[in-house]
Amino acid sequence: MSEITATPMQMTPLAPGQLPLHPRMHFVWALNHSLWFSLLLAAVAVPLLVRFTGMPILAALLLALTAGVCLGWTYAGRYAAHYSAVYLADGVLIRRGVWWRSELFVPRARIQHTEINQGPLDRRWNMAGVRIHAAGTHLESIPLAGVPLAVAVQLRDALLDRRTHADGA
Amino acid sequence: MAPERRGDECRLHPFSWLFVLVAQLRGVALPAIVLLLFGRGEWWEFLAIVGAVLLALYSLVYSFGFRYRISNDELLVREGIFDRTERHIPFARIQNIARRSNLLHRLFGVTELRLESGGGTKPEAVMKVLRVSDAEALVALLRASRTRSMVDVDVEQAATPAKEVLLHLPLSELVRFGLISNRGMVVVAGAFAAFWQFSPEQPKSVLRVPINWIAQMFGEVSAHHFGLLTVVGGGALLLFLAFAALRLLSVVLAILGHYGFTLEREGDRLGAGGGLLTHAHGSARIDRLQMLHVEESVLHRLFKRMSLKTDVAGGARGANDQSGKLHWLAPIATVAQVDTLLAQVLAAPTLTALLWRPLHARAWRRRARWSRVFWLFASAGLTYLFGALGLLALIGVPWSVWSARGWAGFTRYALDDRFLAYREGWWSRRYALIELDKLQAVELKQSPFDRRHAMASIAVDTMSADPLGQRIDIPYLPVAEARALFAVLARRCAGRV
Repeated sequence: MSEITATPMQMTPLAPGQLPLHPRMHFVWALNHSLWFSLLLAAVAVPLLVRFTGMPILAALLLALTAGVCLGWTYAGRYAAHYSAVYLADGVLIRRGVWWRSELFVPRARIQHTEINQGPLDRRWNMAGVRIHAAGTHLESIPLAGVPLAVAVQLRDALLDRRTHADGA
Repeated sequence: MAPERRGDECRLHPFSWLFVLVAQLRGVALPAIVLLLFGRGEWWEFLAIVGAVLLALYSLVYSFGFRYRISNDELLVREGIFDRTERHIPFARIQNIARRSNLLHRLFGVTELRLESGGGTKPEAVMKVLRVSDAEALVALLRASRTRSMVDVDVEQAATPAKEVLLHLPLSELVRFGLISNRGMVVVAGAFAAFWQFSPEQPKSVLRVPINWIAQMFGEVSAHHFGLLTVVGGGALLLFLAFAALRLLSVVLAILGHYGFTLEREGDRLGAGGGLLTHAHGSARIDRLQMLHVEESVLHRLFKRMSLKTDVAGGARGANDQSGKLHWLAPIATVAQVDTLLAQVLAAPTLTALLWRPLHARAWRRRARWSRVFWLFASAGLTYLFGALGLLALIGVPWSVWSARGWAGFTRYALDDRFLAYREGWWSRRYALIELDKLQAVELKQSPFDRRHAMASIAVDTMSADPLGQRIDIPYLPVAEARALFAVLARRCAGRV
């Protein structure tokens, strides 16, 4: 895979503030959650439906898929509503979770390195995910949801602490 | 060749291969012996042993290829025969120096030296093995170089820092430590598990031995027509003897592991170690200490003692606990000694002087809720199965309320301008203490139940903690207080004051 870079025009320093979510991210979440809800329903509800209502297996599967997609889409909407990643002058603040909510602050001085990941769909949509590696034990790898590629590159550069001898201890 | 001469390439001790060999063979020795004694000559098992011996031979040659050189500000380590590695380790990056010597090491007058940096799970360099005098010279050189490279004030004083003994454990304390620690039980359980492993084809036969003993004993007991009281009394005595034997084993293990334990301070470094046969000594710079853990179990409290451990930056803990890295500051100490140590090492306030703040006033209710539900269901199930006798399980309900109240009564957190502290427990208690500028990340969490009760929890992440060990995760805080705490901690760990 070629190196992930953005064109020089896009390389203005990142201003503190909320990181823009890529418009396609909602779709990615919806797809992801629909898949999981459908699988869960297919594993749990389909055998029950077939056993107790005598519904044909195909009809039960179709029902599970429909319900899974509806649930997944709704859940993704709520997930997106509660998700935010804010780049601050001295760190990153991430809010996430629908039922179990969490607000996580990672100071910039503690960030060891960052990673940009791009899948095939991400590349097509010019989207990228950023993963922050901190020096802690339990929260050493923190994923950020998809942002436009240019923002991901700006964020990577902004988060690198270029002070020497900063090992975070 | 003595390493004090800069620029010279140094080798390990001529007998190094022996120690590499022993370390390699130790892993396969036990299965090999078992195989030779009980094996049925499966060809692949012998093949595995041949492979292990070849591996050992390779590491033997490998140890001959190990060279190190000291230049002005870095240590150069060259290792490998076919796959050569050359590592430049700046002195400034070496954070922990650990020395380890077992009985064999001492017979040959050598020691194993590990140099560790701030991050990663593997040491920067492992020198297996050096002559003790060479190792001491190298350590002295590393320290002197580091001191020079850091600050030029008080070089004279820093070059020969005075050793100050902070804690020394006499034998009587080690006996107490053994009685409290109960490592004997762990060892017996481990031995049992290993025994089980070696005879997988007939696991029941492992159990049959003790069962036969018991059956035999009962056979003799019933043959003698002893009264019920005698049988019960005899059983209780047997249990007591088994318990006493386990505790005795724990005491022996404590003495073996920590005999002559001493914690000392040398300039800006802390060193601790002890042991009867294998002497493990670990040291670290004081500013590398991360979270401090104080444990106070029921037995600790019975003996009016505590234990004090630390996480040290650099490498993951647990995986290489045997490396001689600084871990125990005090396996056992009185409350006053722990307070003194906290003050001497970190200039921290005493555990009682911290301003402890309680959790939410209804924390105990939430703590008790799930165990109350469990006991209600358990009682219903048991009543269904065994009739009215099952109602006895309802005792669990007041018990869970009582224990939750006890827990919420003790569990507190404290925040001053330098430290975050958390204490938790009821009968068994633990304290955790961390300097605010060593926090790595702060998290505020809310479960659906938290939201309903307007509560939240605050968790902090620290460096080099035991991933399975205890962390600071303060539950059941009033949500406004949790938000304020989150803001303060975030500000402090980002370096804003």
